[in-house]
Amino acid sequence: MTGVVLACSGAYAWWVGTTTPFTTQADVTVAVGFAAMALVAGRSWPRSTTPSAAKSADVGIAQGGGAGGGMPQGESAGLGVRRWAPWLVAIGLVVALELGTYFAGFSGGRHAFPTLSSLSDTVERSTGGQAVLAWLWLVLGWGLFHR
Amino acid sequence: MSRTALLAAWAAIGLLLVGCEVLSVVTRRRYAGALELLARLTAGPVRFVVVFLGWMWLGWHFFAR
Repeated sequence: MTGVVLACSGAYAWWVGTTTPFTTQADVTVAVGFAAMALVAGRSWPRSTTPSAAKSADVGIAQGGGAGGGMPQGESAGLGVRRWAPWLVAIGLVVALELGTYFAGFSGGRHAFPTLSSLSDTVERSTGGQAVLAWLWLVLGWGLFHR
Repeated sequence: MSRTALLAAWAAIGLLLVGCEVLSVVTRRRYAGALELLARLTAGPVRFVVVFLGWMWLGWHFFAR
Protein backbone atom coordinates (compact mmCIF):
# COMPACT_ATOMS: atom_id res chain seq x y z
CA MET A 1 0.00 0.00 0.00
CA THR A 2 2.78 2.44 0.95
CA GLY A 3 4.56 1.67 -2.32
CA VAL A 4 1.43 2.37 -4.34
CA VAL A 5 0.86 5.69 -2.54
CA LEU A 6 4.48 6.72 -3.08
CA ALA A 7 4.41 5.72 -6.76
CA CYS A 8 1.11 7.51 -7.43
CA SER A 9 2.13 10.64 -5.53
CA GLY A 10 5.49 10.70 -7.32
CA ALA A 11 3.87 10.32 -10.74
CA TYR A 12 1.32 12.99 -9.92
CA ALA A 13 4.01 15.37 -8.61
CA TRP A 14 6.01 14.90 -11.83
CA TRP A 15 2.87 15.63 -13.84
CA VAL A 16 2.43 18.87 -11.89
CA GLY A 17 6.11 19.61 -12.48
CA THR A 18 5.58 19.52 -16.25
CA THR A 19 2.84 22.14 -16.20
CA THR A 20 3.09 25.90 -16.56
CA PRO A 21 1.13 28.18 -14.24
CA PHE A 22 -1.74 30.16 -15.75
CA THR A 23 -2.61 27.38 -18.18
CA THR A 24 -5.62 25.07 -18.31
CA GLN A 25 -3.32 22.07 -17.87
CA ALA A 26 -2.03 23.52 -14.57
CA ASP A 27 -5.59 24.15 -13.40
CA VAL A 28 -6.58 20.58 -14.22
CA THR A 29 -3.57 18.95 -12.52
CA VAL A 30 -4.07 20.93 -9.32
CA ALA A 31 -7.80 20.16 -9.37
CA VAL A 32 -6.96 16.45 -9.62
CA GLY A 33 -4.84 16.88 -6.47
CA PHE A 34 -7.76 18.55 -4.73
CA ALA A 35 -10.06 15.66 -5.65
CA ALA A 36 -7.60 13.00 -4.52
CA MET A 37 -6.97 14.69 -1.19
CA ALA A 38 -10.71 15.25 -0.73
CA LEU A 39 -11.14 11.47 -0.91
CA VAL A 40 -8.44 11.02 1.73
CA ALA A 41 -9.95 13.75 3.90
CA GLY A 42 -13.45 12.34 3.52
CA ARG A 43 -12.33 9.05 5.03
CA SER A 44 -10.68 10.93 7.92
CA TRP A 45 -13.53 13.30 8.64
CA PRO A 46 -13.36 14.14 12.38
CA ARG A 47 -16.13 12.42 14.31
CA SER A 48 -15.87 14.65 17.36
CA THR A 49 -17.65 18.00 17.23
CA THR A 50 -17.14 19.15 20.82
CA PRO A 51 -13.97 20.82 22.14
CA SER A 52 -13.72 18.27 24.95
CA ALA A 53 -13.81 15.38 22.50
CA ALA A 54 -11.18 17.05 20.36
CA LYS A 55 -9.05 17.61 23.46
CA SER A 56 -9.38 13.94 24.34
CA ALA A 57 -8.21 13.07 20.86
CA ASP A 58 -5.16 15.29 21.37
CA VAL A 59 -4.33 13.59 24.66
CA GLY A 60 -4.69 10.26 22.91
CA ILE A 61 -2.06 11.39 20.43
CA ALA A 62 0.23 12.54 23.22
CA GLN A 63 -0.22 9.19 24.95
CA GLY A 64 1.11 7.35 21.98
CA GLY A 65 -2.12 6.40 20.27
CA GLY A 66 -1.02 8.34 17.22
CA ALA A 67 1.75 10.48 15.93
CA GLY A 68 2.70 12.14 19.19
CA GLY A 69 4.56 9.28 20.84
CA GLY A 70 4.43 7.76 24.27
CA MET A 71 4.11 10.55 26.78
CA PRO A 72 2.13 10.03 29.99
CA GLN A 73 -1.12 12.02 30.12
CA GLY A 74 -0.38 13.85 33.39
CA GLU A 75 3.05 14.91 32.26
CA SER A 76 1.63 16.15 28.95
CA ALA A 77 -1.07 18.22 30.63
CA GLY A 78 1.39 19.66 33.13
CA LEU A 79 3.62 21.10 30.45
CA GLY A 80 0.75 22.98 28.80
CA VAL A 81 1.81 25.71 26.39
CA ARG A 82 5.48 24.93 26.94
CA ARG A 83 5.04 21.73 24.92
CA TRP A 84 4.09 23.87 21.93
CA ALA A 85 6.52 26.74 22.54
CA PRO A 86 9.16 25.70 19.95
CA TRP A 87 6.51 25.44 17.21
CA LEU A 88 4.86 28.71 18.23
CA VAL A 89 8.21 30.51 18.04
CA ALA A 90 9.15 28.93 14.70
CA ILE A 91 5.77 29.58 13.10
CA GLY A 92 5.75 33.11 14.50
CA LEU A 93 9.12 33.75 12.85
CA VAL A 94 7.86 32.37 9.52
CA VAL A 95 4.83 34.67 9.62
CA ALA A 96 6.92 37.69 10.68
CA LEU A 97 9.56 37.19 7.99
CA GLU A 98 6.96 36.47 5.30
CA LEU A 99 4.96 39.60 6.14
CA GLY A 100 8.10 41.72 6.55
CA THR A 101 9.58 40.72 3.20
CA TYR A 102 6.19 40.88 1.48
CA PHE A 103 5.57 44.51 2.42
CA ALA A 104 9.22 45.58 2.10
CA GLY A 105 9.20 44.15 -1.43
CA PHE A 106 6.67 46.74 -2.62
CA SER A 107 9.19 49.55 -2.32
CA GLY A 108 12.53 47.74 -2.31
CA GLY A 109 11.88 45.19 -5.07
CA ARG A 110 10.89 41.56 -4.77
CA HIS A 111 14.35 40.25 -5.62
CA ALA A 112 15.88 42.07 -2.66
CA PHE A 113 13.12 40.93 -0.31
CA PRO A 114 12.33 37.29 -1.13
CA THR A 115 9.10 35.79 0.20
CA LEU A 116 8.33 32.08 0.32
CA SER A 117 6.33 32.54 -2.86
CA SER A 118 9.15 34.24 -4.77
CA LEU A 119 11.62 31.64 -3.51
CA SER A 120 9.34 28.91 -4.81
CA ASP A 121 9.29 30.63 -8.22
CA THR A 122 13.04 30.12 -8.38
CA VAL A 123 12.72 26.44 -7.51
CA GLU A 124 9.87 25.96 -9.98
CA ARG A 125 11.98 27.04 -12.96
CA SER A 126 12.91 23.38 -13.39
CA THR A 127 10.48 20.49 -13.81
CA GLY A 128 12.20 18.54 -11.04
CA GLY A 129 12.08 21.46 -8.63
CA GLN A 130 8.39 22.03 -9.26
CA ALA A 131 7.75 18.28 -8.92
CA VAL A 132 9.51 18.19 -5.54
CA LEU A 133 7.44 21.13 -4.30
CA ALA A 134 4.26 19.44 -5.55
CA TRP A 135 5.22 16.26 -3.73
CA LEU A 136 5.87 18.21 -0.51
CA TRP A 137 2.45 19.80 -0.93
CA LEU A 138 0.92 16.33 -1.13
CA VAL A 139 2.92 15.15 1.90
CA LEU A 140 1.63 18.13 3.87
CA GLY A 141 -1.93 17.27 2.85
CA TRP A 142 -1.42 13.63 3.76
CA GLY A 143 -0.03 14.63 7.18
CA LEU A 144 -2.95 16.95 7.77
CA PHE A 145 -5.87 14.90 6.51
CA HIS A 146 -4.95 11.24 6.68
CA ARG A 147 -5.88 9.38 9.87
CA MET B 1 18.94 44.19 4.99
CA SER B 2 20.58 42.40 2.06
CA ARG B 3 19.05 39.59 0.04
CA THR B 4 21.78 37.26 1.28
CA ALA B 5 20.92 38.00 4.89
CA LEU B 6 17.23 37.36 4.22
CA LEU B 7 18.00 34.08 2.46
CA ALA B 8 20.10 33.10 5.47
CA ALA B 9 17.18 34.00 7.73
CA TRP B 10 14.86 31.75 5.69
CA ALA B 11 17.38 28.93 5.90
CA ALA B 12 17.73 29.41 9.66
CA ILE B 13 13.96 29.25 10.09
CA GLY B 14 13.86 26.07 8.00
CA LEU B 15 16.45 24.53 10.28
CA LEU B 16 14.49 25.73 13.31
CA LEU B 17 11.39 23.92 12.04
CA VAL B 18 13.40 20.74 11.59
CA GLY B 19 14.88 21.34 15.04
CA CYS B 20 11.40 21.45 16.57
CA GLU B 21 10.75 17.90 15.37
CA VAL B 22 14.22 16.74 16.45
CA LEU B 23 13.63 18.25 19.89
CA SER B 24 10.36 16.35 20.14
CA VAL B 25 12.04 13.09 19.25
CA VAL B 26 15.06 13.43 21.53
CA THR B 27 12.90 14.45 24.50
CA ARG B 28 10.57 11.48 23.87
CA ARG B 29 7.67 13.76 22.92
CA ARG B 30 8.03 15.98 25.96
CA TYR B 31 7.64 18.66 23.31
CA ALA B 32 5.00 18.33 20.59
CA GLY B 33 6.01 16.78 17.27
CA ALA B 34 5.09 17.80 13.74
CA LEU B 35 2.36 15.19 13.26
CA GLU B 36 0.83 16.08 16.60
CA LEU B 37 0.81 19.72 15.51
CA LEU B 38 -0.90 18.81 12.23
CA ALA B 39 -3.46 16.66 14.07
CA ARG B 40 -4.19 19.51 16.46
CA LEU B 41 -4.66 21.93 13.56
CA THR B 42 -7.35 19.67 12.06
CA ALA B 43 -9.09 18.63 15.29
CA GLY B 44 -12.83 19.18 14.85
CA PRO B 45 -14.86 19.71 11.67
CA VAL B 46 -14.48 23.49 11.44
CA ARG B 47 -10.70 23.48 11.74
CA PHE B 48 -10.58 20.53 9.37
CA VAL B 49 -12.47 22.40 6.65
CA VAL B 50 -10.59 25.67 7.17
CA VAL B 51 -7.21 23.93 7.00
CA PHE B 52 -8.32 21.95 3.93
CA LEU B 53 -9.27 25.21 2.18
CA GLY B 54 -5.90 26.66 3.18
CA TRP B 55 -4.12 23.61 1.78
CA MET B 56 -6.07 23.98 -1.49
CA TRP B 57 -5.14 27.65 -1.72
CA LEU B 58 -1.48 26.73 -1.25
CA GLY B 59 -1.55 24.35 -4.22
CA TRP B 60 -3.49 26.77 -6.37
CA HIS B 61 -1.12 29.64 -5.53
CA PHE B 62 2.10 27.70 -6.10
CA PHE B 63 1.20 25.60 -9.15
CA ALA B 64 -1.80 27.05 -10.96
CA ARG B 65 -1.93 30.84 -10.49
